[in-house]
Amino acid sequence: MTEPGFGRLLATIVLAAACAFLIYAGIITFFVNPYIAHHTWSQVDRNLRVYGDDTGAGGESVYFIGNSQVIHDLDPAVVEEVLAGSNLSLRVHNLGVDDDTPLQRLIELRGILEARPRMVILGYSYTSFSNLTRYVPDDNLALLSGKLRLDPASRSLFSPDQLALIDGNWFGELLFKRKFIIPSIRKVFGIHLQERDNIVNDTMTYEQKLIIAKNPYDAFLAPVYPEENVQKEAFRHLARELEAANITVVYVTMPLDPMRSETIPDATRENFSLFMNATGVRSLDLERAYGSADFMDLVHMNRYGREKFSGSVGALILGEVRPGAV
Amino acid sequence: MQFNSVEYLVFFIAVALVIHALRERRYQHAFLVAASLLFYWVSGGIFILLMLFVTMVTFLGGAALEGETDRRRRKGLLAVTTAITLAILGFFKYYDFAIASANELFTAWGVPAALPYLQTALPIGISFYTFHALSYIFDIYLGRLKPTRSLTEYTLYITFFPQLVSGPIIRAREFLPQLRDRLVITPGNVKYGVTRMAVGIVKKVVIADNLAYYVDLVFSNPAVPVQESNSFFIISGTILFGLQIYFDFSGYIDIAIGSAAILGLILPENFNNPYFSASPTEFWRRWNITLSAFIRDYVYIPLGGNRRGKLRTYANAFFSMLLCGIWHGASWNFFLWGAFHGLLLSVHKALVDWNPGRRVRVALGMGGAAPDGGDSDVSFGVRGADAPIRITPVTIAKILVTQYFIFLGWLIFRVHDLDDLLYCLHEFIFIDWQSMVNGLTKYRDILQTNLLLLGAVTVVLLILLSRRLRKQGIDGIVNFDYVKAIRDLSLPWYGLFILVVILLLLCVSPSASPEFIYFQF
Repeated sequence: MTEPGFGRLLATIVLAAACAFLIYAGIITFFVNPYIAHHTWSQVDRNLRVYGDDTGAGGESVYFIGNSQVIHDLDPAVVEEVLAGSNLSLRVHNLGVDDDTPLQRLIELRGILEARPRMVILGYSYTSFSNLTRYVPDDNLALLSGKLRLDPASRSLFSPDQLALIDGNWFGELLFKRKFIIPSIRKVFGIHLQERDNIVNDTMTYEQKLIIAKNPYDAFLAPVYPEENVQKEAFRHLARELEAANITVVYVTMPLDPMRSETIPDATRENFSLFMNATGVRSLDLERAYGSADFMDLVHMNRYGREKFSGSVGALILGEVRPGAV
Repeated sequence: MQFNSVEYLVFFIAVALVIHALRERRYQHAFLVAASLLFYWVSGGIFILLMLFVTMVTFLGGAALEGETDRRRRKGLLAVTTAITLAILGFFKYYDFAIASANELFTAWGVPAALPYLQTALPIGISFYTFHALSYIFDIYLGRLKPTRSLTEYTLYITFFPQLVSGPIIRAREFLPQLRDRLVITPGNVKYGVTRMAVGIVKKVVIADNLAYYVDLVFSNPAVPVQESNSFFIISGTILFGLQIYFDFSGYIDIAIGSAAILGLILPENFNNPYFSASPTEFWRRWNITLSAFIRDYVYIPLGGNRRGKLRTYANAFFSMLLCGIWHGASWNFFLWGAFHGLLLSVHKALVDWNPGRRVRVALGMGGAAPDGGDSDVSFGVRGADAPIRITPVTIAKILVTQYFIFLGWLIFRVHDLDDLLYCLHEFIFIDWQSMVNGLTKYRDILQTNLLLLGAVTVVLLILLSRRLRKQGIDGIVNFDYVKAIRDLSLPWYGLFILVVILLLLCVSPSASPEFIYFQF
């Protein structure tokens, strides 16, 4: 074998590396980006855009933030209709994010403060305050790196690995997207893995609800303990910063199907109540305010429930903005 | 500094450029020592002082041994140097384990005891540089090596960064002569080294790290029933772990050998198709070759090897493997793993000695002379390591039986909790076939996808190797030196190889890469 010269060998290696990166960028552009366009991170991205649009716009808004329950349960049109009936013109935004927790919401805090809404309603369930709850999905941090700005107190609540994702650059984001390559290609070619979880997106039957309600390992049953945890700290920081900016803050314990409510231990409710009272944030407990017929599954409402709940939220806003109107 | 990190790539390129630029041999050595110490400092911090202390003690010990002619004094010098070196290793590696065991023992006897723990991380690479230092002393004592007068060269032998953290364990008599000439970086070396490093990084990042996810999933809490498919999980987890540890460790070794090769230095091979071994003895000639050669030369043979009767030979083999297990770490599972392999070697040796097949042939008057060498000699390491594998139906059967036990050993190696281990062994040995069916049914989509992928890769490889397959059959494929074949590719094809490697790394590597498994040893 004739040995190649250094120059030709190194040029070959560099050229091969450049071609590999180009092909990789192509795969990300044509397979991955369309695939992840509607993942959870895009909900956060949408929220950041809402805050950006509202900043300096002069109009008055009400932000309802929280987890997937907010996404399903709140119809802003119904709320705005209730407000309009009392001659109150406020734009209501449903800013729910799947699997959201107070810690995750800290990545939006700076945007909310700059948008200066009239009121922020935080809608969560007990599970969001459990120390067993998943903190923040890496995707939501890595795919938005560069757009996220955290104050020092918020930064202190994230782990070094999470901060590395938050502080990442476009190249890191490009590399991070490799985890979606195989699922995106699988989707393009129609290869689906078996459904292993009991996820039902349509309305559940009573029997289906019963099966899930009886599952003692359901993530929704993660208990709240009296001890401090990062979610509680994050909530306190969130509420304190918003109130310091003269933004009205209300916490709503989101409605649950009575079958789910029955399985939540009283200790969790008591511990949560003690925590919420200590924060001084005004709170409204709607956990058991609706019947089973208003839910599509154990935690998300159907359209009947959504209308009722949205009406209640309208009344809540009226009560806060115009005391005595309700 | 992980071998599979961008930091290492930048560090290595900088080192190679400086070595290439330096004209004087001694400056090259001095720079390589400095670079190696920097490499260790980044990963091991203050423990660098420990490594330098061991280096000094053994350097001075070697010099003193050379100048001493009195046999008793030589023995004394060897004992002192060895004791100091091993005491440091033992203190850091086994102190906490000994204290924990003592506390447990005292508690069991009803004596309240809380002896204090050291609770410090194991200095990185301590097991490897200790063995390097010991082999230097032993070889001087045995008259196989003249001590070097250059402290720089000796320090480079101990600290040379490609082999510092996880081997391969190179002998001073193999390494030091390479330093007599100026290190020359040639395009041929670079091409071979880059090929070797590329293969290693693919083994580690693309294969081992992806397997790690499933293995950790199975063994994080193996005794928790997963919908009645635990036999399936334990067996598949064990097989995947066996593959993970091979690709992880041999990947590391490939990167080490490749890095050294680019700098113009040769490190010994450490693996040679270990999972094609047809006996436990052969396995230890093909797996972690430099460690098993070290144990053969400095433990098994000094104990008497196979020269003192059959029973003593079995006992020597058992004790040597027990020591090999304990070397891996202060944990009962490594102790059991070593004992298990000691037992395998001894039983295999006894079976070969007994040789029922030969007895039958002799009884039938069909010949059957006593086996000469080969498997009848429970030796470890290099001897026969490069022997080509011959695939026949009988060999395949032998390989399958051998690998059943080797993988059973990996189960012992992987599961640290003794209760979990007992549970896993039960599931592995007494297979619950219903659980296997459940598991295969439940995960058939994942299995199908992976089999499809594996099938596609196999077809591509078979097409590429079709000429060799036609000429040499399956043996030609198994014994194929693919690194050499890739190195010999013309530049356009070589570029394609590099492109495929980088694409694999970009597309298939998991988000987080765990440390090399052998870093902990």
